[in-house]
Amino acid sequence: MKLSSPFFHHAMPTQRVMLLVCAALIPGALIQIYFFGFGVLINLLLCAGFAVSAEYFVLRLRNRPAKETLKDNSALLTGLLLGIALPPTLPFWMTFVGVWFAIIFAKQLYGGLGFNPFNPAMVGYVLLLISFPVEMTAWLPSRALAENLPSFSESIQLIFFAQTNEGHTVESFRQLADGFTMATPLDFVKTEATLGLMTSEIFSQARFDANLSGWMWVNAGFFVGGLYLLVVKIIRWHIPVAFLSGLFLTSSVLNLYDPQLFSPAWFHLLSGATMLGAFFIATDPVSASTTPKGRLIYGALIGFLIVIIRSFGGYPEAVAFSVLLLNLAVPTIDHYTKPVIYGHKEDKEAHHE
Amino acid sequence: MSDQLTHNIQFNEIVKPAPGQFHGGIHPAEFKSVSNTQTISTIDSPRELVIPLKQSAGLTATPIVSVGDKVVAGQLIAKKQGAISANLHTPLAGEITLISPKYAGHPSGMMSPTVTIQVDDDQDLSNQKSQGENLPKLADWTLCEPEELISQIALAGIVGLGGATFPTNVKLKAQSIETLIVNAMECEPYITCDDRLLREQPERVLQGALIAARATAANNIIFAIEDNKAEAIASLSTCIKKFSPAIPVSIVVAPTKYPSGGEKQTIELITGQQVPAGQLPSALGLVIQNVATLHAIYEAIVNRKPLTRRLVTITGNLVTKPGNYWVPFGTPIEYIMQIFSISQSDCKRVIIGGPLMGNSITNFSAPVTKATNCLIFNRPDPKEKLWLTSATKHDPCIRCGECETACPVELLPQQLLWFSQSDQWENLENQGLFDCIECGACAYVCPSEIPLVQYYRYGKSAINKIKQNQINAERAKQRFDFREMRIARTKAERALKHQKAAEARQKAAENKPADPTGKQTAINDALARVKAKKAALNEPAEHSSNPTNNKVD
Amino acid sequence: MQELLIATLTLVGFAFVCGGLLGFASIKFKVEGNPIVDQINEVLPQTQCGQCGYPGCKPYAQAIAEGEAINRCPPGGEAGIKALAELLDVEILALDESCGEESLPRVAVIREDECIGCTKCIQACPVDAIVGAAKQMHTVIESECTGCDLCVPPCPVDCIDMPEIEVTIDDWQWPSPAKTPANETIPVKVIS
Repeated sequence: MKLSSPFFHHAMPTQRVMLLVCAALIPGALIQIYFFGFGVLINLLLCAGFAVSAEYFVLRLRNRPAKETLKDNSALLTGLLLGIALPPTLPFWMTFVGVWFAIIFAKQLYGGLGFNPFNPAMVGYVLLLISFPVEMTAWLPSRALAENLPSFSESIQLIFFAQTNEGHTVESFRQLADGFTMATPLDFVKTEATLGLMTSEIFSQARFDANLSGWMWVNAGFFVGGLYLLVVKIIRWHIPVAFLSGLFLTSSVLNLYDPQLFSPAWFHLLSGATMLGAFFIATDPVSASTTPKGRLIYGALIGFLIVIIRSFGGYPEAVAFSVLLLNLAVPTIDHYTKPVIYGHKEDKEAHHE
Repeated sequence: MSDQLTHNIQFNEIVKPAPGQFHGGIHPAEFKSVSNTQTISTIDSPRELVIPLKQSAGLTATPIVSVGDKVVAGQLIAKKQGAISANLHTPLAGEITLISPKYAGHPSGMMSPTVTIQVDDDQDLSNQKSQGENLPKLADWTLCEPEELISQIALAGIVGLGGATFPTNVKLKAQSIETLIVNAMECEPYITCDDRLLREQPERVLQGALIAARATAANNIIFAIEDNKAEAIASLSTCIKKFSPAIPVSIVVAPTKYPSGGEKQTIELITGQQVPAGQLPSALGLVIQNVATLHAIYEAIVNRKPLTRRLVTITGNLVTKPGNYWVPFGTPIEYIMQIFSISQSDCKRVIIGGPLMGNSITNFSAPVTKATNCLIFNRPDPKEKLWLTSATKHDPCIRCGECETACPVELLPQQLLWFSQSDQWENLENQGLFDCIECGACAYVCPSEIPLVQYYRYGKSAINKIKQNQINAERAKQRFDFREMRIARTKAERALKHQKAAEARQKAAENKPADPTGKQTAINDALARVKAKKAALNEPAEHSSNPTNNKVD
Repeated sequence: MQELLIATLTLVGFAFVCGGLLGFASIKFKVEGNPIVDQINEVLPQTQCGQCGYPGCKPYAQAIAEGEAINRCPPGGEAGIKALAELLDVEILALDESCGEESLPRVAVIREDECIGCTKCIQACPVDAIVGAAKQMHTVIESECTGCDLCVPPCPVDCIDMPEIEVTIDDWQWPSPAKTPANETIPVKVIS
C-alpha cells in the first residue's frame, strides 16, 4: 500500500501525554493525602486497579487487542481522576461500581478512547453521587480541624469493612470534639445558608476556616499541576482560562449583588474541585469542544454553571454536573464556532453565520 | 514558537519585513546546512535517460520521435497536447531506444509512458557551451511583445519548478496583473536549491523575473523569502542595487515557518489578503513564480536554451557530498546513487521532494523529472517510528485540536478525519476538504500518529470518482431516454403511416366516381346488349316466320 | 360534570380544526407524481442492464417506490444499496445473489474480424453505444458503454468480450487507511 507524506513527525505520543497528566496530578494528590488521610491513597490505588481491569475485561469482550490499547494510559488516568474525586473512606464496592461503570458504559461502549461524548470520570462520579448520596458526601474534616484522621490500617478497614477493628465508623471520624459532624466547606455553606445564616456569619466560624484551609491547599496543588501542563503544552490555555474567568465573573457578580447571600469569588475559586475541574477534568480533549472559540465558550459556560448550581441548586458541588451538561452541548458549540477557512471570508459574510 | 523573525536581517529600502501572517504552521528541524554550504556543481552524464512523457500538470505530451531516431541535445522529442501540457526536450544527444511504459516515480507504483534514450559517449555536462539545438532567436527581450515571450517559454517546455509543474506559459497569460511575486520561501526541510541559486546566480533570476514581469505586464516585483536565508537576501539585495531594474523590485522577508512557501500562504504573508476560494491569485492582481522557473525563463529567452535540466538538492545522511547539482531530466535515481556511492542495501527508500510533501519510493529506477527538486537519502534510523496505517491499529483521534492549531488553511482536520473514516462524502466536502493543500502539518503534530494526509487524499480521489460516475450516469440516462424516445417516435410514425394508408383506402372506397374510366359503362352496355339479344331470340313464336331483315351479327 | 363536558368539547373541537387544516394542506399542496421515484433514479447507476428484472433503471426506481427490495442492483453494488437505504430509511440488505454479482466496471469490446454486421447488438444496447449498420462493421463507443452485458446474448457469432476497465495511472485512487490490512507500515522520522 502506498503511504503518503508526511514522513516527519514531532509530537508527544498519546500515551506519554496521558502519563504526564497522571504525573501532574501528583502534587495535588499528595496534598490531599496529607490533609485527608491515607484513604485518598488507597482510593487512588483501588481506582487505578479497577479502571485498568475494567478496560481489559471489556476489550477482551470486544475482541480488541487489550494489552496494546491499555498502553495508552487513558484508563489509568480516568481511574486516578475518579479516585481523587471520591471521599477518602468510600466503601470499596461503591468505588468498584463507579469505576467499572465509568470505563465500561461511559467509555468503552461508545467505542473506546476518542469516541466518548461524556467525560467518563464525571459520569462515574455522578452515578455514585446520585445512587449513594450519604456516603458520597461523607468527607472527613481536614487535618487542621479533625480530631484524628484514620491511620493507614484504619483506612483500609473503613474502606473494606465500613468499620475499624475498634468499631469506629466513618461517622465517628467525621465528628468533632463538640459532636458536630463536619462536611466540606461548600456543603457547610449551603446548609448554614438554609438555616438562615449570612455569609459573614458562616465564614467567621473558626472551624469553617480551619477546614477550608485544607481545601485551599489542595486546590493550590492542582493549580500547580495545571500550570505544569500548560507549560509543557499538553493542554492549551483556552479552557482553564475561560473556566476560571467564567467562574470568577459569575461569582463576583452574584457576590456584588448580595454579599450576604452569595459567597465571594475567592471562595469559589479555591474550594471544592474547582482547580481540578479547570485543569484536569474540563480539559479532557475527547469530550470537550475542539475549536478555539468553542473552547472559550465551553469553559466559560462550565464556570458559570458551577456557580449557579452551587448557589441555587440542590447539590453543594457542581463541577461534575456542569461538565456533563456542557458535554451535551459540545456538538452544537463546535458547529457554530467553526473557524473560517482560508479564502471563504466572503462566503461567511454572505451567509451571515 | 512565535511568528517573529528569528534571524538578524538588515532592513533597508529594498528589504522589508512581511506585513501579513498566516494561521498555524509548524517549525520542523531544517536540515538545510547539510546541503547549503557547497557551491552548485554538475554530475557526469548518465548512460541512459528515461524521460517520462508527463512532466507537467494536464495532459501527457505526445512523442514526435520514433525508436531508432538519433537526437541532439536540446531537441524537441514530445509536443504538448492541448492547452495545459508541456513540451519535452532531450538533455543529451543519443539514440531513441524505447518508447514504452516504465516506472516514473508515481506513488501508485504504476508505470507511465516514457522515452528511453541511449546517450552518446562523448558528452561533457560540465561544458556549458551551447551545443545541439537551440530555441529560435529573439530580439532584445526588453522590446519583445508579451506574446512572443510567452510563446518562447511555451516552446521551451517551462513548467513551475517548485514542484507543481503547472505550465508557465499558461500562468503568465493571466490578465490584469500588478505584481509578480517570486516564491523564494523554500520552507520545506532539506531543500536548498533555490537558496544556492539566489546566492550564486541572482542576476539571472532577477532578469528572469523582469522577463516574466514584462510578459504579464506586472509593474512591480516582490521576492518573498524566509529569514533563514540571510546570505541569499544579501546577495539578491546587492544584485538589485547594481542592476537598477526599470520597475520596483523589493525583497520581503517572512519568519521561517512551514508552509510559508505554499502559494496561498505566501500571498497572505506578502499582502495580508486571502485568495477567495475557487479563484486564482490573478483575482488579486498577483502572479507567483518559483526561483528556479525564473532562472529557466532567463535561459530560454536570453540563452535560447530549452528546459532540459534542473537544480536538484541531493542530501541525506547517506550522501557523502551533499549539495545542489544540475541534473538532466531522465537521469535514473539509481545512477545518482551509483555516483554518490549509496548502496541499495544501505538505502531502503528515497524521498523525492521534501519530507513533508514528497513521495517515498523504493523502486530506484524512477528518473529525475521537472518536479524533482530534492532527493533525500537517509539511513534507516532505529528510532524511526513505524506508522501503522490501518485505522484499527493506529491510535484513535483524541480530539486534542493540535491539528487545527497547525493547519495553515484553518480547516478542522479532526472533522475531516472522522468523516473520511466513515465515507461521509457530503460532510467531508462541506468541511472544506478541497481547500486542503496537503502540506502535512496536521499529521506532523498529531499525538496519535494518524496518517491524516492519506485520509484526505483518499477522500478527494473518492469524491472525484463519485462525481465522475454521476456525470457518466447522467449521460447514460440521457442516451437511454433518447433511445426510448427514438423508438417510441419510430413506432408512432409507423403507426401514423399505417393509419394514414388505411384512411386513404377507406376514403377511396367511399368517394370514388360512377365510372371514372368508362370501362365499367362499356361492360354494362355489352351485358345489356347480350341480355336484349337473348330476350329477342326468345320472342319469334308470336311473329310468323317473317324473315326479318334483322340480321343478327 | 360541566368541566368534563367543556374539556371534552374543547379537545374534540381542537382535533377537528387540526384535521381540517391537514386535509386542506393535503389537497392544496398535493405534489403531482411521485418525487421519490426521481430521487431513487438519481442514486441508481443508469447502466440500464435489466439485471434487477426491470427494463431499465427508471422502472426499477418506480418499483422500489412501490415497495420492491432495494438490493437487486449489482452495478450499484454495496454503495448503491447503502445510499438507497439512507434515502428511504430502510434496512441495508446484502445484494440479492439471484440478480447477479457486484463486479468491477466492464466495457464491451467487439472482435471486429468476426462481426457479421447483423445489427442485433445495436438494437439491444440500451444507451445506443454501438455504431454500425446492416452488413457494415459494428463497434462499441467505449466512452458511452455502461458495461450492462445486454449486447452479448443477441450476438449470433458471440464476438463480444466484456473485459474489466483497467485502472490507469490517471484514475488511480489513494487507498483509505481505514480499509487497509493491519500490517502495512512505513518508517517515519521522529524529530525531537
